[in-house]
Amino acid sequence: NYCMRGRELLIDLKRSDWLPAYDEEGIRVLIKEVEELTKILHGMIPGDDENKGSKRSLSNSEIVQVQYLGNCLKRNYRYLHSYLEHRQGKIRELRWDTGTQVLPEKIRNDTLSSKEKDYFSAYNDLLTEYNSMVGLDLTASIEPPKELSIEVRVLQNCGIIMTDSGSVNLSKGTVSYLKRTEVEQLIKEGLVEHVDDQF
Amino acid sequence: QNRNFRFSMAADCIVNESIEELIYAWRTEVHSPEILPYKGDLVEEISLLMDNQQTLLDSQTDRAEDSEVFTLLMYQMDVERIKYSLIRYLRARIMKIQQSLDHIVTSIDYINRLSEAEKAFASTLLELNQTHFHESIIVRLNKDTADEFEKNNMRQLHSQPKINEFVFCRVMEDINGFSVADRDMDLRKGNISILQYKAIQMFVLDGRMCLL
Repeated sequence: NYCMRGRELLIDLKRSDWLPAYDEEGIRVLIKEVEELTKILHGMIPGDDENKGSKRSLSNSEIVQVQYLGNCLKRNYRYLHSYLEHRQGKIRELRWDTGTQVLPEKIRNDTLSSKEKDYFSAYNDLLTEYNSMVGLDLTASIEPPKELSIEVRVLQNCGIIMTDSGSVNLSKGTVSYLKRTEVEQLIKEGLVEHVDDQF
Repeated sequence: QNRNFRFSMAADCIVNESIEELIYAWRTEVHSPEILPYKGDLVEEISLLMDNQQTLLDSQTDRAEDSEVFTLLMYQMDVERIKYSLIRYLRARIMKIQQSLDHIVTSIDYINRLSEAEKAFASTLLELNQTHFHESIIVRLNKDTADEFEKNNMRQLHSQPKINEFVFCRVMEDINGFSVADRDMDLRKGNISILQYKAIQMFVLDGRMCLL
């Protein structure tokens, strides 16, 4: 039965919070089905240009089979495309949302295929290059700036960072009042949180 | 007294009209289903003004007296807000380029709407995407199968901009004799409507309408 595995692949994608682990086995099955279907169809469809003279027409049941198998093949093409493209999109999104240039460990080890890791890395280079060409970090400032400096509580030790007003030690549990532009990246990475006491 | 004079000169440099234009450009770009022509002159002008303003502010910060610190902060805040608008404009465009990539690169008209940097971005991203597909799937198929797979590439179809969708729009200049759905309308400056993008496409492109 064709196209069952492909459907599972997509359901997996839908069910997951971000992305499920790259289903190497599933892709292998899909590719195998594509090869098989292509071979069968080529065998059944009569007449390339060379055989024009000896074309025999298909019986009704053969016509139905060709249609069915052709649809299975097209569906598998779409499964393959959708699976890869959806994951590509999520990978790009990761670069934008977290601003991180390095894959988090869990994702690096469990979730992405090696090709996808290459994709992330190449996309990261591309985006960084574009940012430097326009002179702005496009991944910054999701919210309109409300104030210049904000209070942040440190969630994980960040060590000593250099700011415009000198060096600041960001140790876990402390609260500091810093320029928004300086801490934005840290907030995105989850290392500090914005202390908002205006309700 | 000298310092206050310098401040007011700096403030006048960031012309209000340009900023308003930037905000219109950003909003229109966000809401239009297709990528719009790049407003290169506007971006350049605003970038330059921002840089100048920032340089001025930086030079003042060290010498600022206590009474001036607040004013400095306000001006800095202003720069941040303008930077935010610029970032949002460029980001809206990049997102759209990514979304409609395959469609954009096959249309000269669309390609010409991109900035040089965006063109480079688009062509590299296309390469990245294709390489990824190639490495993950194509190399594992027989030659004939691979050719068939490529021929059935629906990406271009799927990445077409949805120009049939309806958008909120505002008329910037009077438009006479506008006809839609067998009705003729005159659009007055300041009118706000919901119309099908396809119908007002040309007005958005030449700036006579903007999107909300």
